[in-house]
Amino acid sequence: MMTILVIDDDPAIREIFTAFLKRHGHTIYAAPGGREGLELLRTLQPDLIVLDIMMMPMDGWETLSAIKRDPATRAIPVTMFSGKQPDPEEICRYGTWIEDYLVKPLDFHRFSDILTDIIRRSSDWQQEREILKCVVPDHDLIDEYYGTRKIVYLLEKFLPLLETAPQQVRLIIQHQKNHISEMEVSMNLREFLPAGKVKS
Amino acid sequence: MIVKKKALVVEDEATTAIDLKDCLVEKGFEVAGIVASGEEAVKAAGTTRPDLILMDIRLQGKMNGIDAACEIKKTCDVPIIYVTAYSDDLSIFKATTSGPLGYLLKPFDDQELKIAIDIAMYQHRKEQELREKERTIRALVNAVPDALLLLDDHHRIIALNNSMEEELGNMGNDLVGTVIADLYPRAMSTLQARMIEDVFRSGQGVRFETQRSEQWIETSIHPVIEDDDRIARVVIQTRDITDRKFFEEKLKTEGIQQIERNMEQFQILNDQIRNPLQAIKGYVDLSDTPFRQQINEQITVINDLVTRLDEGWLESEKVRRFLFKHYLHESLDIPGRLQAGGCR
Repeated sequence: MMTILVIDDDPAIREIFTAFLKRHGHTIYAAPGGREGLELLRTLQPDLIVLDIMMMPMDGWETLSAIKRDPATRAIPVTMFSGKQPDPEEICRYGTWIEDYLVKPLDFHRFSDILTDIIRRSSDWQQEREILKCVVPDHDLIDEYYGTRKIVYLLEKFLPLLETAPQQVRLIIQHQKNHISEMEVSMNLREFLPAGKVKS
Repeated sequence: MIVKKKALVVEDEATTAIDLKDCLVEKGFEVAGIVASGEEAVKAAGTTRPDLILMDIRLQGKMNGIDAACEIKKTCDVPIIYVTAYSDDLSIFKATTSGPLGYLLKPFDDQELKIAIDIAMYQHRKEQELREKERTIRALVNAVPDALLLLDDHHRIIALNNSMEEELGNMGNDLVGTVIADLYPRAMSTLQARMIEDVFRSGQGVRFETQRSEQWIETSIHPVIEDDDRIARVVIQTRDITDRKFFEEKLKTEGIQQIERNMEQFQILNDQIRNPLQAIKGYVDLSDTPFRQQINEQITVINDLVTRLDEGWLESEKVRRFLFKHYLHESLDIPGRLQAGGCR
């Protein structure tokens, strides 16, 4: 079972979130804002942080930046949870820092499964990174590689909404994927990782 | 009281002078003076400002009648009728530029003189009217800021206004008779020549816009329909529309920006709508209401509406511009439309 921290300024969301996930046996901490969340993280090491974006006075992106800049909390996976669709600019700026972006309203019955999947994926990638760091000397390249893969994941998840410009979006995503392939080649990635793990 | 028109008689033969004077009086003129030499004639014309001069060609003194007439014409706009006994003189004055309006060969009778006076006065009045009309037209064409040009069917300049002279960079030179293509840079002249030819052929005016570095020019070519319905001339009108273009572009950009600001507002609003939707959905799932399915369906309806607003935002120019700037490198082989979008 997992420990999850939810940061959301809406008391109703915090209440329902806690009620549902406790049913699945998870341990839930809830904070009404970014500052309160960071305060909790001084003593808490959750398996996942679920972070609202539009909050006052410290919004979700600011909170995310604070978490990722602090070495003590940097490794904790974060997923955003907002009523606002992400725009491409946000995906590019923060995409490497987040494991996923969930748009409200979600079916809470599925919520436990969704969060479990996010944690598993995050953990798989983290293991890959550790293996790679032993064989690829350029650690910045490894970070860029996983960051780009996250961005492509998020763009592919949200940009099909761009109905009038599917061709353009496809080109952009393809371009990013080419970049991923180039990095894989330069890291000799296919030699080191188990078959099937590396996908572009 | 009717002011009588004044006449000056320049004649060194006394009898002829008297005949002329009598005839003038009969025609209702006041004879302002009778002088016998060219020098006196020039002086008298300056002081009496006559409306008509009868001028003998062979005179006393050094100046002949033709020389005197030339001198007078420099300062006075007055019709002059030459009077002479020698038909040889006529060939001389016909070759001069002193602008005589008539002549009489001595001996003449009163009738001939009266007709000559009528013709000279009439012609002079018509010339004055014509000059006045020309001044009016010039004042009008020079008052507009547009550059105007009248061309014949060989693309030669017939007339142009000051703005056009300035635009052609040829102030002061007489451009009348020049072929228009010789004055424009080659690319422009090719386009223009084709357009002008089209107007002559079709009889339909055209209007087009061209850009020269930072400047936008609108050119209109209007056909001039002659009495016989032919098109033998065209008017070319050019206008600097750089300011207009600038404001049009600004309005368009501002319009798009306003729409995008509105969409950003929707984005924030959407978040505020979806939070209570999420809460309702959660509470319904937690409770054992028999209407759970119906409530969830209604939540889906509201959420779909909100999603449509999201789509507008994601398809907006701002988002697309960002994507191009951020992702599309020059090395990427992409269709032209995309590249154009990226350069903006």
